[in-house]
Amino acid sequence: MTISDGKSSSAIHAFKASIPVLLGYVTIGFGFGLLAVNSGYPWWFALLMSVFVYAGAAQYIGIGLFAAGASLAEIALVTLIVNLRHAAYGLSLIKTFGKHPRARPYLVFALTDETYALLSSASEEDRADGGFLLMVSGFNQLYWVLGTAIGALAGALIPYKIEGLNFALTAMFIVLAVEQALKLRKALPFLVAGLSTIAAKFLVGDRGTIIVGLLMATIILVAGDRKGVSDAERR
Amino acid sequence: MLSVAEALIAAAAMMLIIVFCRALPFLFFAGRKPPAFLSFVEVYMPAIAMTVLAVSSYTSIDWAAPAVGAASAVAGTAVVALHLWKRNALLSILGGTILYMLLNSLLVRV
Repeated sequence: MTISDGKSSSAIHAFKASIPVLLGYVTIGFGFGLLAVNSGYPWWFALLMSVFVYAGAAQYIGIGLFAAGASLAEIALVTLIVNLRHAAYGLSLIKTFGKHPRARPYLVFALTDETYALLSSASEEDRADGGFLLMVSGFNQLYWVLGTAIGALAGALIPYKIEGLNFALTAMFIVLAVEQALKLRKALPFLVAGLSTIAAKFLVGDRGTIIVGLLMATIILVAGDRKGVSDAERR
Repeated sequence: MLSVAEALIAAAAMMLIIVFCRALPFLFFAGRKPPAFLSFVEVYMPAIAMTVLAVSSYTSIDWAAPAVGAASAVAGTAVVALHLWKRNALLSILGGTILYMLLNSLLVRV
């Protein structure tokens, strides 16, 4: 494939479209690289994860679970639960990606929250352009990997452990929860999830808090939702 | 702590699971109507998952040493306040973490 004028101008167009993600991914990627090295893993391990796993929240949680010596089953289940939302993202992109069969494998692999946000809000014209979709996705992953590399390097150069850095992870979850609260405008899911987590802590202890809390909250809310739906149907 | 080799295996498993999650609708629902459960997941799962993850980082604190808990609680409140005020994820995360590090060094070391 030769790079024609049309291609280079569409590269600039895709770069411009990806700018909203640039700062966020470089900095959160930086935090991940730093955290991974601070947790005792080599710089190249952080980089490998950002290239092949490529999922922000799951990578942070993963490093936390690795450092805590979690079991493979626990890591797998938490990853599945945390990333199930990505299955929902794909639903709205089946038609768009279906038009670009050759680009599709990478587009699906690289479908993070932020990339989904960009692609799903792109214009009709841009969504019809497979090169644009591919380049936006690629730029985003480039920012993520770049941030990870700089963070891992910084972690390797700073000889002592940085106390308190792992609070960044807690802060990120709080921010994402607040974002969800502003979007949903409902207190119930947050209340149920919070109380389920506290109950899980007392029922099964720290090792199983996340899994049991997630399952409990989901079951309660799904059951409540079913009842709400059938009530609405009866009316 | 998992060894690097164990962590590599775990990371490979994570990769397969994440690819599976992202590919799921393309594999099963191309041209079909998705089940109602998935639309529930789409709406509520991020909220449930983020709340559980945030709260679990508090339930795992050793509250027998209340200084760490106090620093986490104050910094967490600051994150919520910062985010409601400016709605800038970077500012909220960075501000909360710096505050936590400061409180941590002030309270815990004494």
